[in-house]
Parts: sequence; structure tokens; C-alpha cells
Amino acid sequence: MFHTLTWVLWLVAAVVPAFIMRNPLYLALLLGATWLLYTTLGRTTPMGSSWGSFVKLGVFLFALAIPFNALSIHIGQIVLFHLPESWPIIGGPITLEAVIAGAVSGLALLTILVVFAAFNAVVDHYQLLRATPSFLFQAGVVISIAITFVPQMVISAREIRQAQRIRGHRFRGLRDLLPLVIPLLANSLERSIQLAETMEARGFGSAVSLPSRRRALLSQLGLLAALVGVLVGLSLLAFYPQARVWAWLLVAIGVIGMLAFFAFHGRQVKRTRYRRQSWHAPDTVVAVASAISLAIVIVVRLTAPDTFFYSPYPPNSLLPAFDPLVGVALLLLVMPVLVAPRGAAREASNSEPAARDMEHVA
Amino acid sequence: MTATRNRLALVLDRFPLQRALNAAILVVASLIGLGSFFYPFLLPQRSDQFNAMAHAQDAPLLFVVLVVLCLAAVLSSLASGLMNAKLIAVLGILTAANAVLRGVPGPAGFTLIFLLPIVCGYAYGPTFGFLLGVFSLAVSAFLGFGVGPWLPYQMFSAGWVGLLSGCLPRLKRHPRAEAVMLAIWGLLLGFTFGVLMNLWFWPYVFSAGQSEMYWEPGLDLVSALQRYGVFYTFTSFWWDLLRAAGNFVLLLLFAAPVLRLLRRFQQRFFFEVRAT
Amino acid sequence: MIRFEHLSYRYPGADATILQDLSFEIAEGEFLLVMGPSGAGKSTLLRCLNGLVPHFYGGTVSGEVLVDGRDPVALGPRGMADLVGFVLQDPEAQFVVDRVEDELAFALENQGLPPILMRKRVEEALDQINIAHLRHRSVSTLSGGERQRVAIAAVMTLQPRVLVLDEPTSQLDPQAAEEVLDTLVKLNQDLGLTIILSEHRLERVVQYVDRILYFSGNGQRPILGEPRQVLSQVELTPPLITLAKALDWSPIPLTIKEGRRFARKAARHRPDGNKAPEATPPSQRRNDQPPVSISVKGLGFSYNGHPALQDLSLDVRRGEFVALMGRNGAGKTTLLKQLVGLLRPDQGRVQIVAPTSGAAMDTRKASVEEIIQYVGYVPQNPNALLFNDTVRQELDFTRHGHGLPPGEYEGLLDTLGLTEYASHYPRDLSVGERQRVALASILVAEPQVLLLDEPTRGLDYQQKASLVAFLQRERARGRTIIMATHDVELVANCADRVILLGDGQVVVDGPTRQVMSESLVFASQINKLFRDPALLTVEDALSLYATDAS
Repeated sequence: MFHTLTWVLWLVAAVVPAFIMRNPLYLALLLGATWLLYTTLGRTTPMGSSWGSFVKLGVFLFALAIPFNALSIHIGQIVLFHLPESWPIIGGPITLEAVIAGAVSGLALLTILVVFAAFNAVVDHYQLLRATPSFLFQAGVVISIAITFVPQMVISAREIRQAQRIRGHRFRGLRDLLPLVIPLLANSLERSIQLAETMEARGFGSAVSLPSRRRALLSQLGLLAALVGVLVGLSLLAFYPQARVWAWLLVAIGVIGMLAFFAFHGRQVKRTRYRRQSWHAPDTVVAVASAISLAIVIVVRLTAPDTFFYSPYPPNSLLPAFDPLVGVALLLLVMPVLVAPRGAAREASNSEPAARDMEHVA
Repeated sequence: MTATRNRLALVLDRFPLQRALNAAILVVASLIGLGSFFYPFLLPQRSDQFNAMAHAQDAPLLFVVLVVLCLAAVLSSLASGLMNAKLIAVLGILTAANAVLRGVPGPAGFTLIFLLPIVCGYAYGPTFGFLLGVFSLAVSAFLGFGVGPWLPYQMFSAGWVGLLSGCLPRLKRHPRAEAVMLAIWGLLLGFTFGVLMNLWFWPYVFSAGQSEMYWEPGLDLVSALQRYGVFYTFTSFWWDLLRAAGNFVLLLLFAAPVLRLLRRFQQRFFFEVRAT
Repeated sequence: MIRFEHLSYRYPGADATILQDLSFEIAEGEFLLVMGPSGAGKSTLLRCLNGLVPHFYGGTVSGEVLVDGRDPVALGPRGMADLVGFVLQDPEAQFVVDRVEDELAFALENQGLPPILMRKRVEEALDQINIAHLRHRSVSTLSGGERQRVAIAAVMTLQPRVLVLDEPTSQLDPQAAEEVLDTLVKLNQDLGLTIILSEHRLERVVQYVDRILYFSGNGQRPILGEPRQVLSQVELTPPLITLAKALDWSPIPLTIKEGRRFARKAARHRPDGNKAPEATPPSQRRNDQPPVSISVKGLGFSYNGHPALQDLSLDVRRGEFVALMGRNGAGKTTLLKQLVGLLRPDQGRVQIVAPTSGAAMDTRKASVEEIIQYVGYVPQNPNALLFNDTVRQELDFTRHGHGLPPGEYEGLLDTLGLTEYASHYPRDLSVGERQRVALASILVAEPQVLLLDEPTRGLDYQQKASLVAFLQRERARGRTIIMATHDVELVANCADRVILLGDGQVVVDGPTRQVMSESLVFASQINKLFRDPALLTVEDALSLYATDAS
């Protein structure tokens, strides 16, 4: 459908506003846009089904946030009813503002979850894995191996269960999991030797040139310094807000340091990529739209943050503000739906590994 | 040319200084990660509500980004020790096994996914345990649980489970004591993991920042913790209880045989080649 | 091209060397077969070629190996990867990535080749191995044979000049094995690739190899030479060759075609007084048929919407030895699982008759616990069973599962040759020994009916021979045995009756001799050679044609 990078850009453009906005109108708009995306482009694959669990979780927490807020925050002018003041935490006036505040909080979370759910439903996780950056090369290989081996482990687990059943083993308690777990682990470990052999035999390891000891140590020191910078910056923000500027500066420098470390490490990995995904015109359109959307959001955040902020509590008005520019930015996130290649809608992906049951039934 | 036997410890051991650096990096990154969990309790307690409120709203985003970066940093810095095909293969396949174990159904929070990181962390060292925890959750996410905004946090927490398990005292001579120790440990971690992960949702349920009259994020630590306690009891306490209890029982029953298996395997296949 | 000079190797912690003072040469473009019993040193030798020994396994090496001027011991696997390609035994443990095309590219990515070159190499490999139609497939959806071919292709992308394979077909069924071996022959003949192959299934490949290296495993020096010359000195060989040696046919025929000429001559000069073995064994005569042990009627079963078994009916009598044969996917394992109650029929019924009471149990109503009192099932993969610390504990476990008290097991262990391993960790044992432990674990509950699923997979000739002996003894004791297998020679040696399954239905059901002689595919070598229903095994042929049959 779309290139993985396109989806990642979209995700960033959608997630940033979801995280920083509390204005229910914007949130609702974003939620709607994402929902539209899911219904038109989402896949009916096992990956796509995480949508259900995410959304359910979001709705549950949304429903929880309302009473939780209403019962523990007692500010506001429109009182719904009173609870005796003597009751701990929940005692006091229960106000409409608190209810609304809770709802808005929950809505924010729901929106975040829906954005991620949609992302999971449209992106090809396999390609996402293939796009692992170079400085995480080894991690990518480990995860790739794990994903490749899971289907046969599932089959193996079933075989083991059947084999133990016909020895009279019955699952009566947790203890009876042992004859199932041990063979699974033992098989795994034995297989890993063969796998390691075949990896070595194919020259795995030539990709990474270990830097000289001095350079390695220096880079690690650099990373440590960057991390310490971030930590100190955050601590300042928490405990000494007066030094806000310094704190942010430290954090920023720290982050840059970390990125530099990634770049350095990435250069050590000399492997190339057998890229198979191609970039098409619609990808550019969506990427540009996402970039513009994100840019608008950031600019507005820096220049006129009021519009993102919403509080029902006095003295703020109950009605949220609305800036059409932000509205446009959010609507731009619908772009993938508009430019999706024909027939891309609901393509049942054939890329999910299907366990070959029949093979073991001969 | 001869070969000698060696522990399955990552090749970080090559240089003690590098090992210390890696540990330091892990510690600082973990502190940042922890901070990302606890920030709702630590936001500045001032009455300059506007700026602080805005910051309170930005905080989740900032921290997600930071956690992702820290995780990537830790993984990347451990990378040089990972260029051994054997280690990668073992990690990869054990991660797969763990992902399959996660699929074993159980009531509420009961899960098998911590069994391996705890036992492997204990048997093979903190770094291995950390990596196994991190990768297990990543793979689970890729395989159907979904990439959620809390994933980096989950990965970090699972990593800590494995990491800390590697720091437990070695009781190889007393297999019974080992099993009991690991079981209690699993109980503790089961709860801790839940408490931590629940913190992720906390700021959304308990909305940050509202009025000039009553400053919410700046709510003093005690009341904030009180409220969190209530939230926790209503949401994930039972989930975590089952997870913790499950861990306890599983480890009590399985730690010993799994440890035997892991140790046998280590003996057969891991060593270093040295030229004569 | 490949030279061994006084190569010796000892595993770490071992007392004896496993390779002792080996010196020989392998020419470029040669197809070398390495054979011998398990544990004799074949795998070790193969791994010396690309440096896995000693880099991966440790141990002490002395002497020298040179592959096209490169020293694997010095360079290690990484340095040898573009010269020597290595393919392993287990089709399920050789893949890092889930997609075929990406797996092929894995080795190339690690070498840092530019993408255009990678594309070219991948395309070439796909064509060389003829798997272009699999390129977009997920590895987990492939069959064993396809996987091994992908593994070969993954290694071929580096364009090695030597291809080393360690028992690549031992986990595969005959058809898949044939595909793999045909691929190798093609690579050797068309591309001139030097191939060093370790293999038990000699029949398929012995006519194409240039030389054979035989490890006898008794501490004797390995024998290297021309196929016919080496085979004349090897003890355990395929039936055709065993017969040829016994009847002094010279030069030893390597294929059925070559053998026909000798067979015709032997038929013309048959010594008088030699009798053909009985066409119909006594147990199958109409008169005194033992009672039915298992009765299947109209069995139907579907797997994921696929009909796996359709309207299947058969009766197995007590003491019979039935072989279930058929292609992969024909339903053999499904049928066995139905007989033990792991699966329940969708249509029809399966009845197990208890030997003492004569009561019939319907598998649809009985529980697995009840059925396994009478029916024992040994699954394909012994690794799925073994988890205890000693062999004895494995046996205890099964007894416990059946609600039986633990026993002494001396007799059983002795019959299976496991007495010395009673306190060993089962997973440390070799493949053949593990099979036997799995067998013992099922037999310890003394089931009346024994179901075996591919019992000879991965076994070498010696291990197969002991298994055959064991099965014949069990049959003599009166145990009912139903065996699903691809191994035609095993069936010829043991089974009374063959049931051929095709697409979930019974295609043929009859006495072994009859079924085999009427079939083109499921016939033993001796049968194909003589086309005589009376002759299935080497013993049969010898009883007829040996000049000193007494």
C-alpha cells in the first residue's frame, strides 16, 4: 500500500497532536480522521485485530476517568451534587467541570490509542522490522529470528502437548505445565545451535567492524554524558523550576548527543539493504501532508498554545476554542485515504505467516 | 589452536572499563525511564499554572520520546557485545519461545512471559536477562498485541525484570533455596511491573492541570500517591495479583528444571577460542 | 582444490580424537559422498571445511586443511563464507528472516554488497535452484523439501565454489529428498560445483557421486575411493548392493537399471532346490484369523476445512503388522491420531477392542486416558516427548501418567539396547537412541497396539537394522503394530500388510508382497529388480538365488 516510512511519518504527525492537545474539539476531529483511515485502509489481519483490544482499553479507561476525576477533584462552579465532606478523597461537591475534565482526559487517551491501533492495522509489521536503523542492527536480527521461529514453535508446542497426552499426561494444575515447557525450551536451545552455525557459515558478523578500543570507549563516554545531561535537565525541571532554561538546554544537548551516538554506531555497521519497497507518488503526497500537519501543530504550539489547552474549570470557559488552522492540520491526516492506490482498501495481507498445519498431518 | 571454556557472559567482559561504562549507561538510562513513569508525582509544584500546565500536557510526549531514545541507546551500546552469532541465535529463539509462552491462557494477569527473563537473567547474567525481556515484549507487539504507545515502557520494564534477576545472589549449591528465592522474587516483580505500567495511564485518568485556585499536578506527594493508590486498586490490582501469584507458583515449580536445562546448555556450547 | 594434511581433531574435554591423521585431496568439481554411522566423525570433518570446527565448537586441531589455498582454521567461518557454502540438517532451524527472498539476501547484506549486485545474485540463486515461484512466500509456509532448497539457495547467493551439506535430507520424506538431491546433482553437473555431501540415503545419489569417503567408526581409518570399490567394503548398504555383494555380481550395480542385467542372468541360472518364500504368510490365511483389534468404519475428518480423511474403513487384527504408506499429506498421521483418540471422527467411527474383555471402545465417547491403555502412539519427533533428567525417569513418567506403579524396566531397556543409558540425560543421546527412548517410554505401559509414526526418520543403516530386529521381535510376541512410514525397505522387511492412503482414502489394502509388486512407487529395491511378488527383501532373493542357500 504505502511505504513503511510514509506510515511512520503519518504516525508521528498524528501522535504528536494526540499527546499535546487537550482541546476536545481537536481530539474529536483527530479521532474521526483516524477512524476513517482505519475503516477504509485497515487490514483484517491478526495485526489489525489489536485495534479491538486497544479501542476497548481506551473506552474502558475513558469510562473510568470520568467518575475518577469527578470524585476526587472538587473544583468548579456547577455543582451536581454533594458528598459529605468527611469522606476521604471523594468528599465534597461533585461538579460538572470535573466530569468534563475527566471526559476530556479520557478522550485524549482514547485518541492516542486509536491512532496507534490504526497504525498497527495499516502498516506491514514485517517491513517495519526490515526498516530497523543500522545502529539497532543486532536487535533487528534478534527480533527477526524470533518472529521467524514463532510459527514453528506454536506447532512444536502442539506436538508436545499431544505427545505428552498420549503418555497419560493431563493438565490438572500448573505443575503439569512442566512436561510442556521443558521440551519446548530444550528444542529451542538445540535449534539455536544450528541457527548460529548457519549464520556464521554465511558470514554473519562481517557486517560490523568493531571500532578501535579507544573510539569505542570514547563513544560510550559520550553517550553516558548525554544521558547524564538529560537526567540532570529533567531533575532540574522537576525540583528547581527556576532554572528552566538551563534544564531544557541540558535536555536538548543530551538528546543531540544521543543522536550523535546513534549516527556513530550506525556507521560501524557496514551492511547494505536489499530494499524491496518502492516509493511512489502517493507516498510523497502523504509524507508532505503529514509534514505540513506536524509543522502547523508545532508552530501553533510554540506561538499560540492556548488553543490546545482546555480546562473546564473556572475561570476558563466551558466552551473550547477552535482555530481553523489547526483543524486543517488535523484534516490533512486523512490524506492517505484520499490518495490510496485503488484496490488497496481492505487488502487481506498475504504477508502474514500461516502455520502449515497440513504438513504435519500426513 | 586450543579453546577454553567460559561463561555465557557477553563479550563486554573483554574490557572491564567498557563493562563499567555499559553498566553506567544502563543505570542512567533506567533512571530516566523511571522518571518517565513517576513524573506525574514530580511535576513542579508552583502556582504559575499556565506554563506548568502546558508543560504538564507536553510531558507525556516528551517522556515517550525520551524513553524510546534511552532504550535505543542502551540496545545500541550493548550491540558490540552482541556480534556473536550464538548469542543472537539463542536470544532470538528464546524470545520466540517466550512469545509462545505468552500465548498460554490464564485468568486476568496471569502470564508466563516473566518466567524466562527471570530464570535466564539469573542463569546467564543481567545483560542477557535485560535483552530477553526487551525483545520478548517487542516481538509480542509485532506478533499481534500491537505496537502501542506504552510499548517502550513495557520493554524497559521487562528488561529491568531480567536485569535485576541477574543481580540476585548465586545459590547454585542449593536448588531448593534457588527456587524459593526466584519465586518470591517473581512475586515482587509481578506487582512492581503492574504498578509501574499502570502509572502510564495515570495522568490521563487523573487529568493534569486545571485551575488557578487549586493546583493539581502540584498536589502534594502524599495525596497524589493516595489517589494513585485508589486508582491502582480499582484497575490493575487484581490483574497484578494474579500475575504475581502466577509468577510465584510457576517459579517455585519450574525454576529448578529450567535452570538445569539452561546450565547444561551453557556448558556444552559456550566458550571462547584462544590461539596458542 | 581441497587438501587435508595429517588433520587430527579432538573435541574439548574428550579423550580420544575423532579425526585422526587424515590426509587426502578432493579435486575441483568432484561430487564426494561421505557416509558412515552417526558419531563416526562425518559431521566433524565437514565442519572443518569451513572453519566451524574449531571456531564454533572449540577443541584441538592439528594438521592442516586448505580449501583453494585458504585455511579455514585460521580464517574461521566468516572468512570462508564466500568460498564454502554449508547447509545443515534441520530444515526448521536455518532461517533468520521470514521471507524467502530476504533470506537469500541475508548473506549478501552481511557482506555489504551494493543493492544492484544483490538483486542479481538473488535472481541467479532463485533460478539455479529453481525456486523462483517461492520468492514471496513466508518460510513458515514451506514444506521441508522446499525449505532445504531455499537453504541451499541462501548459501549459493555468495557464489561459493564448494558446497558442503550435512545430512540435508534426513528429516525429509523421499519425494522431498529426491528434489534436494536432484538439485545437488544439477549443481554439480551443470555448474561444476564441488559438492561434499553426507548422506544415509545412498540409493538416490550413489550413481552420481565420483568418490565415497566412508567412516566406519570403529577407530579404523576412513576409506576413500570409487563408489563400487568402497561399497564392496562397507558392511551395511542398500538392498541392491547387499545382494550384489552376496551374489558376487561384478561390477557392483548402483542402480536398478544396472542391476536388471544381473537379475535376468540370475533368473536364468537359478540353482535347483531353492524355493521361493511363501507368497502368503500363514497368518493371513482365511481359516484362523485372530480377533479384530481396531475397527474403522466410514471415517471422515476435516482439518481447517480440508478433508483429511474420507470414508475410510479398515480392520486391523490382533498381531498384525500393518504399514501405512502414502504421500505426504495423504492422511497417515491423521489416521494414526484418530486411532489413539487425539483426534475424533467427524463422520464414521473408530473402535478399539480391549484384548481381555473384548469390549469395544468408541473413540468418540472414550477419553484419551482410556484409549492409551490399549493403544500406544510413538510420534514422529521424539524430542517432543523427552524432558526428564534420566531415561528411567521418562519411563516412570509414563507409568505415572497411566496410573501404574513404577517398575524395574530391565527387560525393556535390554530389548532396546538402552541399559547403559538408563541414567543418562535423554537429550544428550544420539537421534537413534532418542528414538529408542521414546519407544521405551510408550512401551513401558504395555499397550496391546503400537502405533509408530515415521520411526526411521534420521536413522542410519545400523540403527535401522536394530529397529527392524526389534520390531520383528515385537511382532513375534504378538503385538499389533501399525506403522506410518515412507521407508519402503522397512516395510518390506517387517510388515505383513500394506495400506496405501491417497488423499485421505484407502487406495490399496493388501498383503505386502502383493501391494508392493503391483506398485511402481512403493516397491522395494529387490522387488523392482526382479519384478517377482515373491521377492521383497535380500533374504528372499538369497533364498532363491544363492548358490549355497543352506
